[in-house]
Amino acid sequence: MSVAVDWYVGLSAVLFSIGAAGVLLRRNALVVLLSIEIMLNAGNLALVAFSRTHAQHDGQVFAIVVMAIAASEVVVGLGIVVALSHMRRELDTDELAELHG
Amino acid sequence: MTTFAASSWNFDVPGAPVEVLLFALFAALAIFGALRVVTASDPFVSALSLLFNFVSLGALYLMLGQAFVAISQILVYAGAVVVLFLFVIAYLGDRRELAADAVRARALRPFALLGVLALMVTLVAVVITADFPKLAELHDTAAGFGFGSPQAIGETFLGTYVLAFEVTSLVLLVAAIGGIVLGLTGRARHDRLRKLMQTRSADQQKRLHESEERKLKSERGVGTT
Amino acid sequence: MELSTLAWIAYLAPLVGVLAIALGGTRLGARTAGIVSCLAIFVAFVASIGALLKWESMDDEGHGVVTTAWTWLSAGTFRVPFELLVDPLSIWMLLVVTGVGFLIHVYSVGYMAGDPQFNRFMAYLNLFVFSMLTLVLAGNFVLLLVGWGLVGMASYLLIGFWHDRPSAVIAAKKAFIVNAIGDVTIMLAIFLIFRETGVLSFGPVFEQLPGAVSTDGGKAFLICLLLLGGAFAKSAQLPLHTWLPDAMEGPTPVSALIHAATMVTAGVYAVARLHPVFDLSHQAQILIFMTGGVTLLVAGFTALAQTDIKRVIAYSTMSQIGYMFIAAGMGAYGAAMFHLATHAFFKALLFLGAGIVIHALADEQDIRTMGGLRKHMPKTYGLFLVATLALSGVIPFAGFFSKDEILNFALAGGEVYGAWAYATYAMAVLGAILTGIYSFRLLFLVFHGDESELVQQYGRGEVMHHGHATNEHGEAPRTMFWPVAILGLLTVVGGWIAIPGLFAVPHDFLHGAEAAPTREALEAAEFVPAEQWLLALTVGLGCAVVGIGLAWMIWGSGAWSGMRSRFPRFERVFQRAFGFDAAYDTVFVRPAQAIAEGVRSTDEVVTLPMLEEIEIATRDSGRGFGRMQTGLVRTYAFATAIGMLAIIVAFLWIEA
Repeated sequence: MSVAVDWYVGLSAVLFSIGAAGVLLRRNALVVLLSIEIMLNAGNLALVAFSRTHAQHDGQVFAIVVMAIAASEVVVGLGIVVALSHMRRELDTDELAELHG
Repeated sequence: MTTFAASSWNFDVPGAPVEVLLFALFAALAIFGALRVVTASDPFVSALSLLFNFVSLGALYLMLGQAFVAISQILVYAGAVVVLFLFVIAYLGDRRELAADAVRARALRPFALLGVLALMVTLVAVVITADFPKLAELHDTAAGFGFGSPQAIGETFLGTYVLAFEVTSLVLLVAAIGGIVLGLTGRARHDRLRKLMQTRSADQQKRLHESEERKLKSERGVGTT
Repeated sequence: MELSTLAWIAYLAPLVGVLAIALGGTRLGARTAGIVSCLAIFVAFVASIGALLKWESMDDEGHGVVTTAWTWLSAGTFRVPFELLVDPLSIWMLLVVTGVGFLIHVYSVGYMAGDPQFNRFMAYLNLFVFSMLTLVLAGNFVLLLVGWGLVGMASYLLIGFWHDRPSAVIAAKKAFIVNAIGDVTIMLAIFLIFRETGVLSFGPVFEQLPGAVSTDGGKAFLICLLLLGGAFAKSAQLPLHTWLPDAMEGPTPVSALIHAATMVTAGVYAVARLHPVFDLSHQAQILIFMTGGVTLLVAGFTALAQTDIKRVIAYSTMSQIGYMFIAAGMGAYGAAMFHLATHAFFKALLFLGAGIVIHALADEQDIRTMGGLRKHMPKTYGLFLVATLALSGVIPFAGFFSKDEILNFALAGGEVYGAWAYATYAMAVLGAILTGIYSFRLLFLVFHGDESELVQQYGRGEVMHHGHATNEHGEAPRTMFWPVAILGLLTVVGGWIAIPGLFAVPHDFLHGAEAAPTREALEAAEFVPAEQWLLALTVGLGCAVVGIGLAWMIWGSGAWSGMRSRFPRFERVFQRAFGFDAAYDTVFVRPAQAIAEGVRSTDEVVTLPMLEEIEIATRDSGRGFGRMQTGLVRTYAFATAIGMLAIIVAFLWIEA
């Protein structure tokens, strides 16, 4: 037992920020989805680390729930991407701006 | 604005260097994978890099003594999610982003970079200043199952969090249906949706059939007169 | 069966009728709806008779039975239960309302036959009876007010029943608004009573109010005055009487049931029911009988010059209620309730008889087009004659006993109330003469004299209604004739329950229904009933005979027919009903219209441009905010990230 929980949480923070950077900077819908996956995983890592710290199972349970929800999100997200691809050539999020005010 | 309390920073290297080395390795791999996902111009490379991230996180989970979550991580993410991404990328073919100066939100880029940096600094600052407890001793559960074992998680999941479990399964179901609906196109979409929505009893089908025949007959009758 | 059970059956049966007809909608045939509504009232009537028998068999000399269904309102110590009070007074009213109500329901089935909205009419009639029973069975002030408002609503719905006639709609609105004034004053009175006593059920209020306000004090007078505002509005007494003649726009059975027999007498009932309150204020009692006296004169004179058959009877109703208020004001509640019941019989008879005439002449109501109907409608003529004799107070018809008892009390009241009572007595005597004149004027003009053109047409079967000659079933259909005949019988025998000097059922039944001062004064004066009765009866009968004689000379035999147009100035005043409507029009209606017009123009100048400005500002700011919705996912994500960052920093700040 040598690596303190601080390191895991710190890693989680860094991964989360990288994921956020991907969401904010990339315009390819697929890469945005991938970046979101990174962010979710960062959150999961924090949950699991704290679960270990307190020797409780609650955090792990939530991590599993997050995985299920992430899988659902990927299914729907990719479904939307595929449906969009039938309508237009490019999948650039900046081009998908029909809902502007 | 705030003075960081450096005293809470635990970093006891001497005890077990192997663990520290393993952590450093997988943390570096995870960060590398994440960075590649964000920076690669080819989505295919991004998806494959994500695999690095996922697998190293799974290893970290194992180091935290959580076997079941680690295996789920490999199965769900590496096994299902990444494969799904690769399928879709292969299906859609090469679709690069537009040139940076051809897009609408050009002005956003510097602000976004700055914002992300600020976020990272702040989050790390929070982690540094926070006073986390030491790792607790691991105990078997009341029923005698080890920490992180499927049995122990099952106990918690289907006991305290049974409602969350049910709701999650419902979300999965809806997502599955949604995926099917989104995946249908054109004529196929129309027909399949109708079939999905109009599940009829044999009796109803018979009546529908009869009414359609009647309609046909009357149309023919109109045509001849 | 328990007394309370019978009361609840009588109370709820009409409601069941309303719901059955209303929910049945168009699926319910007219015949079924008629049967349902009549049956509902008949059940209520039978339960009322059961309640009477039950009460008689109980040897309890108590103040009545209070039966509570549930606690209706509850706040702190304030409680209003949904309670019915069953005592002789409410049983008396139950019998009158459901008995006369049932006969008029049966009559309506014939009268309204063929009307496309027949079911709605029968449902409204049932609703009215239910409302009236709420009023007379109420065990506290709140429920009394609810009943008060409900009968006003039912009256509004029925006056305006033919809502495609503008005049009917206006009349309905007028009746509702005038009655609303009364509702408001009653509500204010209830507030005052609650402030003084903290309770609202009749029993506790009557116990505690004498201790809370001083007898003959200003507070007692104010409470009585506000209660009287409601009573006068509902009972069409001056100065809140103007709605009643206009209310004749409603179908004739409505006039008979609501605007003659039951609802308009609610004010008298309220004074009798709340007599412990009125006993507290001498001035209020004087106000009651003086108002009654003035109203009966004004209405009597007005009735002399009216040309609409129903309006004559409407003014006569006002005048007769004036008599009831004289008795109630004098503290002779038994006499007031007795006259209320007999008046319900003969006035309903008069209205239903008029209804038969109107029906026969295809909705013609102007008595100048009538005359000589006696030969064509002998049965109706007979019944109308009975009612007119009763109205004038001729022995042995019902009106004789009840009205002359009131005259007697007015005379005896002088012992207590002094000159006011004697003045009222004089007005009542004059009113009795007037009653004889106007009621027989109506009879002579409609049934005697030469046959008018319209009546001759009727005789030849040329008056058509709904595509049928109106005389094809004789004088009237069976459902219309028999209720009228029964009312005729009641008009003859109804007064015999109180023969002076022998027995007085209303007084014995309505035990203790005289105000204490009146009773004491009568006893102190060593008042010998029989002798004074004899005097009063002679005077009353004399007045009636004089009045009838005058009517005969002027309109009957035609000997003094020159008198008809001898006083054109008075005639004009009487025709315009002393100008009350015109005065109210000037004082209230026109200013209100002017204010409304002012508000409307203010609206155009001030409010509308202001709204326009608000509209423009909203649209522009909406456009501004709309620009924030770029539709670009990344800007949204950026905003989210910055927001999250701000929250984290804020938390750090708080920690530090």
